[in-house]
Amino acid sequence: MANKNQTKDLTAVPAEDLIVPLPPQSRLAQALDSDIFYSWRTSPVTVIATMVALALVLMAVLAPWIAPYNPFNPASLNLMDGFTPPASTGAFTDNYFLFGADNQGRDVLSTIMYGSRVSLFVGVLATLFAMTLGVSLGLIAGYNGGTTDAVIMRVTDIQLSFPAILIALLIFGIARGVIPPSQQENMAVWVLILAIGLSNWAQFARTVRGATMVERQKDYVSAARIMGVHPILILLRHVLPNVLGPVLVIGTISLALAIIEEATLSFLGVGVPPTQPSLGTLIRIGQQFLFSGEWWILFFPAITLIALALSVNLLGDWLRDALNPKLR
Amino acid sequence: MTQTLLDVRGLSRRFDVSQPWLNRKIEGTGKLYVNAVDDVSFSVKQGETFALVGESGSGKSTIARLIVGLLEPSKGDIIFDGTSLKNGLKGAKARALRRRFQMIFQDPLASLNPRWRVADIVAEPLRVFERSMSNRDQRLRVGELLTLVGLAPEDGIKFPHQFSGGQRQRIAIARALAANPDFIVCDEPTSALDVSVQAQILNLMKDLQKDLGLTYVFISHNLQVVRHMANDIGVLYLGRLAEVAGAAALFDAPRHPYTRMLLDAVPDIEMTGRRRKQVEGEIPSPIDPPSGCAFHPRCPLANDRCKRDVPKVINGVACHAVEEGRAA
Amino acid sequence: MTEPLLSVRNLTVEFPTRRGILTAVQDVSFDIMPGEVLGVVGESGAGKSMTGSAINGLIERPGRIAQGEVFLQGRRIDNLPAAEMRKIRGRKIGMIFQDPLTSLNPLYRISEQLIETIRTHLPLSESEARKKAIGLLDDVGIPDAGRRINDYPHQFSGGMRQRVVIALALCAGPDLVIADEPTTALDVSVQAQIIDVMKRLCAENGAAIMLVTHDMGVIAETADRVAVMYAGRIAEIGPVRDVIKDAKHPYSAGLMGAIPRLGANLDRLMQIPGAMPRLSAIPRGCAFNPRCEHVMDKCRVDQPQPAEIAPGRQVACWLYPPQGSTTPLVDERRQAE
Repeated sequence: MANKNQTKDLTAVPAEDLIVPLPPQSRLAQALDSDIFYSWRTSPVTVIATMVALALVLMAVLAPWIAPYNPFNPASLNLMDGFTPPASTGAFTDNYFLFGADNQGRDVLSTIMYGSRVSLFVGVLATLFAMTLGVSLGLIAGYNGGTTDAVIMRVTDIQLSFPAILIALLIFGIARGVIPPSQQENMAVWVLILAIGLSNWAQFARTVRGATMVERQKDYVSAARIMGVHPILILLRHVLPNVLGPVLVIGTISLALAIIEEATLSFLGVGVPPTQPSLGTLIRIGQQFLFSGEWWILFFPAITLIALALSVNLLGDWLRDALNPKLR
Repeated sequence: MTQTLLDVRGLSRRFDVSQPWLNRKIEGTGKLYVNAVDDVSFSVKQGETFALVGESGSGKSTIARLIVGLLEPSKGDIIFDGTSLKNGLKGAKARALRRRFQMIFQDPLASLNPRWRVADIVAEPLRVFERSMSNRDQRLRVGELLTLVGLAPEDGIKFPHQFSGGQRQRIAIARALAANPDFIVCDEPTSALDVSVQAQILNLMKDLQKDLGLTYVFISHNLQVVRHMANDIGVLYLGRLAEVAGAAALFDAPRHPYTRMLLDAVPDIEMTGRRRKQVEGEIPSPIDPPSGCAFHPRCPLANDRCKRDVPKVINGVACHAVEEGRAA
Repeated sequence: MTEPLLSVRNLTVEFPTRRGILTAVQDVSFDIMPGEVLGVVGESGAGKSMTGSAINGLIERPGRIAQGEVFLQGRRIDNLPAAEMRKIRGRKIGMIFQDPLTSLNPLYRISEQLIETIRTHLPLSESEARKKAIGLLDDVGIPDAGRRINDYPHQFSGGMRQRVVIALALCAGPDLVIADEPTTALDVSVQAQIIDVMKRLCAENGAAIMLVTHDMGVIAETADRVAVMYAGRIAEIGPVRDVIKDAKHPYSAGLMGAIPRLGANLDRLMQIPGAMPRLSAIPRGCAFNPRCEHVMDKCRVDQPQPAEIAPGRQVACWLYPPQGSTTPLVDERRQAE
C-alpha cells in the first residue's frame, strides 16, 4: 500500500502515451448540457424574452430585405396615403399598410423595422463603447490600487452623481459646437453613440474594479506574478476572463438602457436626424397625432420599443441569476 | 557538504493598517502599523526542508510571500544562492533566477485559474520561461508532468472544477515543477485537504524532493505534518522567531516555552493517556502586541525582564528564561 | 439496561438534482446513550455533518430524509412539524457549529441572545435568566462574565466566541449536544481549551455529545465511542480505543495510518490510493472497493451491512461476514506482509 504512488520512470513510456490530447473542438454538445442552458430552458419567461428579442433583432437587421416598403425612398411615397389606418389599403396607391401609414404616407411597419435598426445600432455600439472603457478603467483601478484607483474611482463617483441623460445632452451640446454644421448630419449617429457610451461606463468600471480586487488576491494570480508574467498579460489572460460574468449581466441591462436613452434623446430632438428616424424619432413624430385620433403612428413604435427594452432586460435578469452561484 | 541555498537575514515587514486619510483627520487618530514579520533570520540548506510553524498571526504566510517576491521587505535581506533579492527582480538575470523558485498554495482551487484547462495551467511556466518550445513539445512536457504527479495526460483537457481537492493540489505541484525549479515555497499545502489525501500529497512531495533534489520551505500550523517533512524547523510567534532547531532536537527537547506549549497541545492520537496540557490565554492581536517578549502574558516563566525587553535569538532560542537558565 | 437517548435507524438522506438523486447519507443506524460522547469521523463528503443536520431537522431543501427514523428518548422526532422541532432544538438538543459567527447574531449583545434563548425554553424572569446567563459564561471560562455579557460577538476572540456558543447550546439544559467541527476554525493552542470546556460542562449537566469532526486527534481525546463514515455510510463503529488501536475496516485502518505522528518519524506515510467518490458516482457494492487493498469479487457486487464482530463493535466489510464467523482475514494478511 505504501509504495503505490512512487514516481514512475517516465523514460520507459513512449512519448505518444504522455502527450496531452488536444481539447475537443465542438463545444455545442457541452453547452447544451450545461447548467446555464438548463436554467434557460426551465424559465419560460426567459425563453419567451429570447424569442422576442431575437425576432426584433432579426427584423431590424434584415429590414432592407424584408420590409414591405422603403420608407426613405421618396419615389415610393405618396403623401396622399398619409394617415391610412392599420390593416387597410392606401387611398391613392394599392399599398397595403398593416400598421397604418404616418402623416407622410410612410408604412409604419417599415419605419419601425428601419427605426429598430438605427436604435439597435446606436444601442449596441454605445454599450460596447461603454463596456470597453469601463472594463479597462475598472481593471486598471482594481489591479493597481492606490492613487490610480483613487483617481479613477472619484471620476466614476462624479459620473454617477449626474443623471446619464444630462451627461449625454452635455456631450451632445459640446459636439454641436465643435463639429462644423455641414458635417453635423453625418456625424449625428456617432455623436449619439459617444454621448450614450460616455454616460454609461461608470457602472462597468465599478463592478469590474470590485471583481478585479477579489481576483487579484487569488493565488492563481500570485502564481503568475511569481513567474514574472507581465501585469498586462495577467490582466488580460487571468483576471479579465474571470470578471466577465458580471460584465455580461450589466452589458445586457445597459443595452436596454442605451436603447431607451437613445429613444429619449431622439424624442427630445437631439438624436438622429429625421431623415434616418430611430424608434425615438418615430415616437416623437407620432405623439403629435395622438390626440387627433391617429393613434397607430405612436402606438406601434412605442410597443416595439417597450418589447425590445423589456425582453433585453429580462434576459439580463435571468443571466444575473444564472451566473450567481448563490441563487442556483 | 550541503550548502546554503536561501539565507534570510533580519527580515521585517510592516503593514500600514491605518484608516483612510479623511477618517484619520476627522477622528484624530494617527497612522497604525502592524509588524507582521519582525527581524527574522534563518537559512535553508540545498536539498533539505525548512519548516516554519506558527498559529494565526505568526507571520508565516507573509514570510512565504516575501521570499517569492510577492511582497517587498521593509527591512532585512533575502539571499538566494548568493544573489540578494532585496532590490526586486528585473531584467534577464532575474528571469534566470525566477525560474528556479516556485510556490505551492494552501487552497488548490484558488491557485488554479477556473477558466483555464489544466494543460494550459501546467504549461504557464513553460510559456514564460521556454518561449521557443513548440506546442507539441509543451503538450508532451505537460503530459509527463501530469503523469509524474499521479494524474493522466488526458486530464489536461479538463477544467480545475472537475477534480477533487487532492487532485487539484497535484495539478498545482505539476505547474510548480514545469520549469524545473530547484526551490519551492509550500504555504500550508495540505491544510485544506482530508487526512488520507494529505498523506498522498506529503508522500508525493517527499518523493519529488528525493528524485529532483528540491529544496522546500514548508509552512504549516500542523506540528505532526512538520515533524514528518522537515529537517530544520523555525517556530514563529507574532511575527518573531521563538526557536530554530533541527527537527529531532526540537521535538525531543523543545527549549522555548511556546514550543513546549505547542507540543503539549497536540492531540494524543496514540491514546497513551497523556492529557493535553491546559494552555492559558489566546494569541494577542498583532496590531497591539504585548511589550517585551510577545509571549510573556501566556508564559509560565515570565518575569519583569520579559515584560520589558525583546529577547534576541541566542543559540536558536529567543527567551530570557532559557538564557538565564531558568527554564529547566 | 438503560434505554438509549438517541436512536437513529436506517437513516437515508437524499438530494434530488436534475441529474438524478444523490444519496448523502445511506442506511445509517446508531445509538447514543445518556451522557455518552459519540464521535462521528470521516473526510469531507462522508455525510457526517448531514447526519447531524438530519437529526436536528435542519436539512436544507431540496434535501430530504428519504427513509429511516430518529428517536429521542423513545419519541420519534424525524417526522415532527417544524414548530415542534424548533422546541426540541435548544431545549432537548443543543448545537455547536464550526464557525461561531454562524450561531451568534452580530447585531445583538451576548446578553440579549443568551437571555432570549433561556427564556424561550425555561420559565424564568428576565433577571433570573440574566443571572443564569452570567453563571453559564462563568462556567465556560469567560473572565469577568458580569461585564462581558453586555459585549457584542465581534468584541470576543475566536476561542471566546466558541465558549459563548457552548454556553448558548447548554443554556436550556439539553440532553444531547450536537457539535459539528467545534474546533476546526481554532488555533491548536485554543482547541484543547474548548474541547475541555465542552466535555466538562456536558459531563456536569449529564448531556450526551455527538461530536462530528474530521480530526481523529479530537475524537481520541474526547469520545467514548466512534463511528467512521465513508461515502454516506458507516464503515465501522465501536469503542474509541479499539477503533484507533485496532481498526478493522480497511478504510479506518488506512485513515489511522495516514495521520502523521509526533512519535514516529517514518519515511513515508501509509496512504489510501484514490479519493472518496463523488455522491454522483458511488461505486456498486462496497463504496470503498476501488481503493481497498483487500478487495474481493463480492465487494464489487454486494454492499456489506454493519455486522457485530465483538460486543458494541460493528464493521461493514465482507472481511467480517455476519453471523459471528469472525475470521480475522486482515490480521493474517498483515502478518504475512
